[in-house]
Amino acid sequence: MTTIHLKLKPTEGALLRVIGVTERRGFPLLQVDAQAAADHMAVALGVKNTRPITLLLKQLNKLHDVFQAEVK
Amino acid sequence: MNAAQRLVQFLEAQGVDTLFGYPGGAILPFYDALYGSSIRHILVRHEQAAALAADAYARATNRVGVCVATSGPGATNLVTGIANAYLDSVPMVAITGQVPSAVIGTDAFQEVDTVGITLPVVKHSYRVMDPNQLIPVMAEAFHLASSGRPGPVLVDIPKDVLNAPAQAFVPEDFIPSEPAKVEAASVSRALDLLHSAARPLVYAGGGIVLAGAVEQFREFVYKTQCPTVTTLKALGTLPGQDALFLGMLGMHGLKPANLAVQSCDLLISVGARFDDRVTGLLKEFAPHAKVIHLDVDPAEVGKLRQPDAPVIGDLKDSLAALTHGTRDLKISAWRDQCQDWKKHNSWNYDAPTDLVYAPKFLRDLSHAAQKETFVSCDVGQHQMWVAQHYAFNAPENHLTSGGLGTMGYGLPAAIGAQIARPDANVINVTGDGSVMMNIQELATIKRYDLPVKIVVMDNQCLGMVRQWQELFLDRRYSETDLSDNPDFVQVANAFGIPAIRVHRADQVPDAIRKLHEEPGPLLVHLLLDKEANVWPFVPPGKSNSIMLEGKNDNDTSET
Repeated sequence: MTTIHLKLKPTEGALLRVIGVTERRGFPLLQVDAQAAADHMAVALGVKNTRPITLLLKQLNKLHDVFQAEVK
Repeated sequence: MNAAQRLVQFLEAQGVDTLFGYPGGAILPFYDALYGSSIRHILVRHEQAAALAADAYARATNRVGVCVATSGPGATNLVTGIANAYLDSVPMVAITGQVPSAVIGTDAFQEVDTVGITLPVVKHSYRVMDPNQLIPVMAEAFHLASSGRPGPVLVDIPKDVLNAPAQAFVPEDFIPSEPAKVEAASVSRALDLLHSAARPLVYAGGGIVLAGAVEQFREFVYKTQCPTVTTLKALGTLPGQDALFLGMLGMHGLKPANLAVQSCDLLISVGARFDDRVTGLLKEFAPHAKVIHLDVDPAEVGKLRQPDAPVIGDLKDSLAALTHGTRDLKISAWRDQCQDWKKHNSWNYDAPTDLVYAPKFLRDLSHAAQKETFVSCDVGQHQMWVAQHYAFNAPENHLTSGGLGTMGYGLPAAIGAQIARPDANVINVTGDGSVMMNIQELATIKRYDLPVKIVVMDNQCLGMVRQWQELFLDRRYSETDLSDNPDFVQVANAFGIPAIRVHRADQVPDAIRKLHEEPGPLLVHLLLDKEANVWPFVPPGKSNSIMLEGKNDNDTSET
């Protein structure tokens, strides 16, 4: 499992968008943790590595609601 | 002023002169505000056609296309058109009405979760709950739709939000983000590969068109004198008759194009995405080549083929940088080889019978064009014949659904293009299956007196599916027979559109003359041999080195 740490805009649908892209791009979800803060939402996604994780990071970082997506 | 009026005011200030749409309950405040405005609204007869026409309008003008629909079924009918724009990266803003915010989530009349339904097929989307946020959101939506890699953006607005008072928008409140600059080091790596290649080949994709980089692209190709193949969406990035142009590559690519790809030692991918219809069996695609990949979208680079030299950024900048740094290439032997392939694989246009031969019809239609002509297609055999045999000199003249493959695209697309370019000739080349998917738009053509021409290539079946059944499924023709088609001449006449029927080759010249010269709309019902297939044909999942060239398996060419 690889954990991706994301910082999202606190907007409607941001989490759904991230989860949708992750699953559609072929990375099954194993764990989701989300915490709302004043100016953002912190999300940690545990995903099964089926393809190179950099491909998913590029797709997530393209989303308008994603400030940052990274593997620490 | 309410938010709906602010929205119309914003669209006018944005320079939007045309909307494609269909009114309904939840979007009614917007239509009320639109009444008497300077914006031209094209009332289509199905919301799907609104989105597809807006898509073509955007492609024909390189501006953002805008479509409008009401909540519920209006919004769901837009979805195919939005997905079409997403898969082909077309700049579009879709505006949908939503049920009043107080009843959202109660399964109210004509309520669906429009943002949720469209999530996977938009570049971004918004549901606006604050009337004062509507115009800032719209400004951002237009910017997102047209910047970087373009795409559709959806804005869903509850009816009460449209009706509520809203403040004026101050444009200075919205500061668009700056695009990333092309890195000099990446250009330098690409130039090193280019200068050391013996058999470089340019693989051009639709990104060139979306970036408005056709001029920079041609400068690059002409300076390097590299042979060039294109995807479906990049046809016309080099003139169709250009000596360096080898044709479309891929499943129905021309033989010289696929031979060159399989033999090159450097593939310069420009705004292309290694789509499966292009690559065939991916691991055997361009097997001897190193790859330079130019793209504005970093997520495309390395998605399917790892490049040796990625160059990320606006194609206008990256192409200009490559052109500037290129020295003379010593590739005349390679160019000669490509020309030899082209010479020995030229198409034989001799019609085998006195029936209409589609490749010859399209070649002759192309040669007879006197003024700028747009050709919109649907999906199937006719689409591939257009790609193979119509010579495009500008990519925006070719309107085709490349990524989604939407049957029903062609007729609304012709409407969008004709509205955008009233002085151009616009011809929809379609099939008897595809045309029925949005046949109701004949009413839109009549309503606005558009001189759109329609060629229905009728082989009484779903030709491309039938072709697969014939070649790979033991001729089990499951549900592909369309021999009970309506009489298309009578259908057109019922909508007030003149129509002629062409069933012999000797009737073709007169039909082509009419398609280019008739001042008003015209439908040409073109009867084709049901058995006609599209060749060459790389079987699905096979390498592009395996090109079927006829019905007999012994005709298979493997190189």
